[in-house]
Amino acid sequence: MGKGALHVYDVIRRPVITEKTHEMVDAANQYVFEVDMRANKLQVKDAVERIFDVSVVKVNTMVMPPKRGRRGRKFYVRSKAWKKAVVTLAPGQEITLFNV
Amino acid sequence: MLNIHTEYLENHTARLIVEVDEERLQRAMARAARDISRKGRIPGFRPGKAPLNVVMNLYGREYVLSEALDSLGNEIYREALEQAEIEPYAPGSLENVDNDGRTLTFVVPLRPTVDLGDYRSIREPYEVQDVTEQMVEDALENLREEQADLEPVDRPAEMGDRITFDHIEIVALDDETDDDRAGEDDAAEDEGEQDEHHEHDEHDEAGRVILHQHGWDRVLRDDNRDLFPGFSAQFVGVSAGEEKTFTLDVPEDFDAEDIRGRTVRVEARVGQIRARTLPEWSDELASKISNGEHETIDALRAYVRQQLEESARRLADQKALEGALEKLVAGATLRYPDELVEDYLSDLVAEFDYSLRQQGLTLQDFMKITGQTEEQIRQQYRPRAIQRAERALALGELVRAEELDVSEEDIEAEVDEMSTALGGDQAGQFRQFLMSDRSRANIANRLATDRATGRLLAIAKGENPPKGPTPKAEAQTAPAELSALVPPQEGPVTKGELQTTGASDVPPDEDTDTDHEAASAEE
Repeated sequence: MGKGALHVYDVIRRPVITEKTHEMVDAANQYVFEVDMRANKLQVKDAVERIFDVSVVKVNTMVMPPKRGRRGRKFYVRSKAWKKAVVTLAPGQEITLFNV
Repeated sequence: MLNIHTEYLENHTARLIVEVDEERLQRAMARAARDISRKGRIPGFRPGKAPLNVVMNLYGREYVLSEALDSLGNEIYREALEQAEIEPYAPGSLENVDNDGRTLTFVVPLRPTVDLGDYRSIREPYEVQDVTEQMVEDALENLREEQADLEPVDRPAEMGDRITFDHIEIVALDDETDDDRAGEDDAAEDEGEQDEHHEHDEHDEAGRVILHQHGWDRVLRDDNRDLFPGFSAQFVGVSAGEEKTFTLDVPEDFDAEDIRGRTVRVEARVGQIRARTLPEWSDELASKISNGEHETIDALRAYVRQQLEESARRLADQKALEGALEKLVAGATLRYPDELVEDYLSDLVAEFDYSLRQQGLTLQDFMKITGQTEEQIRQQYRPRAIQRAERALALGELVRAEELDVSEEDIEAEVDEMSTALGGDQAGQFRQFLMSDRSRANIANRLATDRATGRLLAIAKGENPPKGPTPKAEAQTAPAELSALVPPQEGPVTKGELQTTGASDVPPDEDTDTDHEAASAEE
């Protein structure tokens, strides 16, 4: 592991649990995570396989754009851009940790 | 079909152990999860859309289960009751949840069962006291005295004067240890008009205080209406402002139990002396007394006699009924859960609170003053609650056994009668008020009670009435005091029981002696 390389536990930040991702689990055995902006698909695949002990078939990543929200009339809050990874597991495999 | 195991417990309750099938529990939990996620927003999900496991992760399984059992428990409870053919008296409770929600244990208070036994053979001695000429005369005399003119005088008191005592204390001296405080107020309540009234319910160094009052009024008399024999005679010749202390022996055959055969010490200071001028009997006076209803003395006399007879009959009815009720309950086999008694207890305490409120107090105040907890008060009322509950059960069963049920038409008729009698101009409005569900229930209850007590009395008198509804006239033999399933006026207040009535019950009526009570019915 070279300098500045990401540790597997740094790659995955959190699972994204919403109605939509919940359906994705049921429909396509796909799990969604927020991952480090610097992480690439291979790193994500490696991280998921090592942390959850499953085999990953495919990883799709996308950068979610920052969004601007408003609090009151004057103040704007910005959310940062983040990277989302949709991980497709081999059929019959599941990630039980989040119980989704 | 549920798998139910039923145990019958001692205090007329049943324990139902019900197995819930897994699928049903899951469905209920999913429903509960939906409800939970609807109320508390879960990020990432629209309200009500979060799945069971997400909700469980967030809130914990226990919480979801308890929410699920809120509705499922009721459902299962109803089904279990139906299946086990149990009739509950009151809502049951979920006693225990086992096996991850799959085994539910309910405790159900069972509906009371009553077996009246051979109630038809209940007999009570029934004796109406004869109204003597003397009683009529006394009653008339009382009425006349109410019309007396009072004139303050500046001379020593004479027999027949009305005296206001600045201060009076009557103490029954101890010649024996006597713990029975029953009827303590009998003698004290005879005459009212007290400005200040504090009774001491304690032994002082010499005996028990029967009466301790300031600004107390009393007419001096040498007949049988004296406070107790010889009392008035002691004040003859005493002037205003003088103090008088004496002791007297009360005869063994005196009415009031707590001073009968005792020595009493009286300490008094005479305040004001007023001479009474009694009006002469005339038709005019008779008319004045009766507010123009009876124009001659003879008419008034006949009316008074009739009232006295009526009251004697009522008294006899009440006495016989009281005895019969006791026998009815004693002869019956009653099985009921504790909840029944608790319900009656709550009623009693509420009544007590109400009576306190009329005196400007609340139950909270009372508890503070007496240093009692609500639990203690309830404990004191318990015997009475039990009595009430048992009588109500027995009477209710009597209504059924004697086919005295109150029909809708009966209630309508009663409402009509009451609204015309009491409503006056607003009869229509009054009627509307009476037709409310609650009031109808009360009326039905009262009618049933009247009928049951009337029938019980008829049975006790050996009249052997046929079953089925009684003609109205007969049903009304139940004294009015016996309002809906409430036992008749309580006897002497027994020791350890709260005094709820007494002072407030009897209006401070001038010269109402216990044996002349009938006379006060003339209003």
